Amino acid sequence: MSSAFLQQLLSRRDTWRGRDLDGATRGGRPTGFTALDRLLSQGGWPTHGLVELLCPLPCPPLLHLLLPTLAGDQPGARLIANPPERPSALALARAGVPLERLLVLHGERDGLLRACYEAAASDTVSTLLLWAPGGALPAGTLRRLHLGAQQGRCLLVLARPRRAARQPSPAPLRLELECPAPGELSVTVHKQPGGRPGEHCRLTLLPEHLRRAPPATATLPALTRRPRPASEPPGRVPPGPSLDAPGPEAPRP
Amino acid sequence: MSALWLALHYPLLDLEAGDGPVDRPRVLVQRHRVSQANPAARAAGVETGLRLATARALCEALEVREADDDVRDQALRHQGRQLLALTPRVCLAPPASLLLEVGGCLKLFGGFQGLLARVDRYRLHCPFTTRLGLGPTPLSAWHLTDPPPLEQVPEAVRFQAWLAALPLDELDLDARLRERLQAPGLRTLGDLYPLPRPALGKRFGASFLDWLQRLLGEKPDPRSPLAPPRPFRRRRDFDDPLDNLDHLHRPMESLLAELATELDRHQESVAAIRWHLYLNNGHRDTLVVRRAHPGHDVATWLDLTRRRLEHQMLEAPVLGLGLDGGRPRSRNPALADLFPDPGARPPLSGLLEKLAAEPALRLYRPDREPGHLPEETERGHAPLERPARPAVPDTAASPEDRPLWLLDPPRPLGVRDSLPHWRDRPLTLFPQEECFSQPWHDQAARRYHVAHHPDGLCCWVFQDDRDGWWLQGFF
Repeated sequence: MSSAFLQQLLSRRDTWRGRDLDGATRGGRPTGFTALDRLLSQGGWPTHGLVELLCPLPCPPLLHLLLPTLAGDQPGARLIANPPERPSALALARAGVPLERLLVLHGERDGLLRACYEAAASDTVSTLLLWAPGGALPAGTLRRLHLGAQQGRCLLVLARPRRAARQPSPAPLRLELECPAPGELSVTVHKQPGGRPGEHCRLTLLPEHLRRAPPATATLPALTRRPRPASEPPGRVPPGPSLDAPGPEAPRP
Repeated sequence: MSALWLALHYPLLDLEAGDGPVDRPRVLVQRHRVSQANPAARAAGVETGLRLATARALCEALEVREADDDVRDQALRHQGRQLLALTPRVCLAPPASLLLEVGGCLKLFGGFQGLLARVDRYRLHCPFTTRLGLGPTPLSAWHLTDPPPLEQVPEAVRFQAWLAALPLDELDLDARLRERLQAPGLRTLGDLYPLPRPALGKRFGASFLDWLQRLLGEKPDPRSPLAPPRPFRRRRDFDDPLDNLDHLHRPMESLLAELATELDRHQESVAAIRWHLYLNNGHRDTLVVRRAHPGHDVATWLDLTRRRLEHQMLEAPVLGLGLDGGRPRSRNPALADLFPDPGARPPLSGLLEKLAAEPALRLYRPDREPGHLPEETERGHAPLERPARPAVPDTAASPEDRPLWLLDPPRPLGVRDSLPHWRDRPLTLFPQEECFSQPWHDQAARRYHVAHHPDGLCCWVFQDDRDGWWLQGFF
């Protein structure tokens, strides 16, 4: 391979260089988890750009992972786009997330992606957490999101299903998440600038009393069952996809 | 910046209010006597105070008019609105004068000469006969008419001298008061200057003293300015019905430009505008476009309108387009930072406006609310609503665990072998329970449990009093 061809290849904007850290070796935003900071070559989340989290969708503990970032003292707004359920304002406020700068966005696929691009590129949003809408996300869309996030100094975290790991992506950082046990999250590096894939760590997300397995007797449903017929629900049940539906990614026994 | 007032008198307004100055002799008659006569009538020898019969005898073709106060006031207001282009402080001085505070806008028109040039241009195009007055107070401007040619704003001393030369006979006072003033031998206003003010007040009345002090600028003379016409409302009809929404952009732009000119004239902004599309089938579609902060620039309004239009479906071709400006607010530009932080981010409002303009997106600002049941403690604010003070004090210290995700409403769980199941797998319940009862709400008491799911999730479930199991949230 001639060196001219190599240079041409290297000068392409979509060539990803694993060792290229843009000079900022350890200038990332701390994630709030020491083990994860050690795992990431920048010492935290990148300051801006696209980050892909590949997880069994929808993954409730994912928001826990981003809570310290959302709660940080970064200027700018935080946007949660297309969440699978309603994030609880009470719990977010307790975690220190400034509610006056937090926005939640729902929308149809194309409008949602366009709005997310505008928000990321507007330089007003510091952290954007987007649950990928249904349907394929072409590399061009991801690239646009990444460039928009870089232009607008925004950390764009995209939650995608695990099957997307097989597709190439312009995101410099891709992590795989797994829930091995309640309140715990295992993070595996899929792609990282200046790092190797395959490294992993295990994070504890919930306090001890919520993680501790209940005693065996508690699994028995001896909890005051009274002989009464179960009847109508207390509220309406909304249609549409939700955490409730068995996810295609859910591990089966 | 010292105050400077202009007075515009329309001495023949009663005669001219209907159709402007005419060459025919015309008089205004009150109680069978001539009260006003136009130059043509005067040329024929008709004077004010003549009996109508005498006037008719002097001039055959005399046109006689009765005074109509409504028409006159309307004409005066109309002239006042025209003069709002010069200054926002135009005050009506009935019956036929306008007072303009121009001290604040001298710089805008390039000094005193520039301002007078603007006034002269106005007087040239004004359909009525006008006289100009100039003075440091509203009353002095009213009295000091037809000033000599001036290079710059005269000093206060010159104004005082001009006022001193005013004969008492010409003052805008009650005739009997004028007689009483002249009785001691006073002839001009200057004769009153050296007299002690308390004695003047005692002799000629407190109201006269007050008037004199306002005239001389010794007392403030507040006047309420003329309110600009409200609201902005324009409609444009098309010769050919438009069936493509893209063709609306050009007329919208021109209507917005009109609105912006109007707002610029009064130094105002609006926070919302409303478009009306008049359809061929007789219906009217209304689009409301809002902004986070009041604005007046055409480009932003047009961009937001386009976003709003993208989601609009036309039932029928558009025959006309209307624009309603919202309630105007006076502009209050914030102070710009002298040394802005280089890393500072622009305000969020620009993005909020764009996202809020798209009806297909649902954007909200999550917040807490006092409530009993978990799903009642959540609310979403509209994005353009001003963030209010937190209604609920921070309860970071309270010990109960609350899930990060809340399902509203709760989802029913399947029960198999008397165990709640989710995604067809059994939940492992924690023995501790937390009770929410709300008997007054006609709702079942709930017993909450933390439960583990084999998929590695920590759930929050409850059992109602009918033994139904419900999923409320995830930790």
